[in-house]
Amino acid sequence: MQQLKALQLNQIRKSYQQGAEVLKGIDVAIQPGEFFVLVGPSGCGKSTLLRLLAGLEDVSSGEIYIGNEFANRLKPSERELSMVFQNYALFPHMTVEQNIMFGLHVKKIAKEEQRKRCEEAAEMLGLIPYLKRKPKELSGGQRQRVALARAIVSHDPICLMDEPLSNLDAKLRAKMRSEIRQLQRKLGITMIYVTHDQTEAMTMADRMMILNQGVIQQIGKPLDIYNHPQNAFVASFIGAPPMNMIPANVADSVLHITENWSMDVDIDWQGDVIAGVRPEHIQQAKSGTPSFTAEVVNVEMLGTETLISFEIQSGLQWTAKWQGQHQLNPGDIVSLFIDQNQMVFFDEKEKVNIEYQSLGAVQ
Amino acid sequence: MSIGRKIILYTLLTIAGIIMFFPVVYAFMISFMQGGEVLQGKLWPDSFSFENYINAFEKVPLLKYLLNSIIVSTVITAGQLILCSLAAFAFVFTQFKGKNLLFMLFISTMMIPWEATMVPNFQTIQSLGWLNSFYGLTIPFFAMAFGTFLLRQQFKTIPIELYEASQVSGISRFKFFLTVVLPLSKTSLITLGIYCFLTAWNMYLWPLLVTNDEKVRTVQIGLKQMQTQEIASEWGVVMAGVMLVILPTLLLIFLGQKRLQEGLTKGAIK
Repeated sequence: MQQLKALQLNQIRKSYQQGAEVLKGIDVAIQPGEFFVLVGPSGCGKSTLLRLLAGLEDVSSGEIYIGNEFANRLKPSERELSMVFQNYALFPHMTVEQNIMFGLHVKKIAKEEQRKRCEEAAEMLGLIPYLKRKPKELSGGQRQRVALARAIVSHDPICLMDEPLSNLDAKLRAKMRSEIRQLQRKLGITMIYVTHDQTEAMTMADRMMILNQGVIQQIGKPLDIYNHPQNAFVASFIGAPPMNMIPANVADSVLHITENWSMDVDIDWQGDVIAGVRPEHIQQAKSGTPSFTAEVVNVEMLGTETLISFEIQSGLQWTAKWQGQHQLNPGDIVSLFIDQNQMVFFDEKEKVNIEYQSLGAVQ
Repeated sequence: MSIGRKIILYTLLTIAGIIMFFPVVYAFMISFMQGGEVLQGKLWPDSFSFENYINAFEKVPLLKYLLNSIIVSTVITAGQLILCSLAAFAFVFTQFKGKNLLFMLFISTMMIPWEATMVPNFQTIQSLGWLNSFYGLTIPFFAMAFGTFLLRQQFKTIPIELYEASQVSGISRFKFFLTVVLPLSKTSLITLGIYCFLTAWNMYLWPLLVTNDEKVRTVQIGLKQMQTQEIASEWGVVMAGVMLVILPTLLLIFLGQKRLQEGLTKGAIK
């Protein structure tokens, strides 16, 4: 149907007149047909990056290649991409049908073909009964679908999405997540998707890029990032509840976590570290395993799993995630066990995963 | 509200209503009176006849003046709507250096009374040779800061994403202006249109300055002319003329009242 297009960004920088640099040298290559997610906390520059790709704003320095074409100076319409906005940007005075077909005539597509595409897209998204309605007569989810349909009908090889699901309620969001993903696979478009929600990023992305304060933290497949976070920021940002972390010290292969808790570890490191462990890796201790005890401060029972918060140090709470239902009350003392292989260590200064540091040393 | 307060309130409102409306009603009554009746201080005419109205049409070319007024007001309204909406669009949807400063400068012209610029305007019109023509009557009123201000406020309520979505789809700026901005601002445009039309219709000083015969003269000048010709003896005829002149204005108000209210209060409450 359409040729796939790759995207290449070289040293993209963006600063505004007020002086703040929003993006500080972004390098990334996005593969054709890939579902690429940009994720980060608000203000990290992800939306700005998307707007630069769309051509709605100019880069301060760096190069953008779309396909193999140098695209810095191309107008938004010349970049052959479609975009879905956070607030959907539907035209309130036009019907759903007019909204979907808006812009097609510019591409010199015959009336017949326009209608055909509109029907195709409406069919795919279940919008056929609503074609004659105005956006204000639709629910949030339906409006979202109209915005998607408008992006689809253009048959552009690249689609940009700026937090498209953030205005929907949780249930609908989960549904739309899988719909968008399926749609992208079916159409084979290159999708660049911005979100602040790490769940969306984890569940939808082929690959994702984590941004913080205009700097790339890590690029990779969701599970690789989850299992091998490059630094402490990524570790705490990806995963819910977030990874538990604590400053600790390694001396002669013994990790000293708190005054009364230390464990043997098999790492080649001396000195201060930040030790991290995912909530699901803090297990209930069986007799005979090395363990530590803690006092439960809060319990959240979710049915399939139980979240237990406990204080590991004064002022620092950790969360453990246990499968199944556990009858615990605040004040109870629990005995906990952590497999040292499941721990992640970040160096104390740079907050970089020491696993990557030793890799760097090898390279 | 208690009955007592209601009675007081309605009495006050009625009195205010009578005071406000008395001149119009009185003028309407006079338009049916003979010359003598007016001077006797009567409030009710002896008989209702359209003699004065017929006289009004005969004494001065009232129909011609009415037509001129309609042409002038319509042209000014159209010109103002076009120029103001384009200017407002530029102030909202384009980015350029010094935009806010320029806008400040633009609306600060509202502080200069129109009478102060009348003489230079007159000289300009004169040197262009536009005296006694529709050009001279209409063109000086095309660009108005107030209209631009009003429409800018309205355009600012249009989400910028709509503009960006159009850019991504490849819709030109002008097309976006025509197919999105204008339809979404219908209410404000109508409000401004009615306001312009009424202001233009009631214009007196400028038409008096730049016209000197009945070819392009507007109806307000016609009324004055009628008054001077009759030397106050035929008030009935003059008032008949007045009634004829306010008719289009009233019609416009009645038809556009709802829109006008909507437009003036829009944005006041979200």
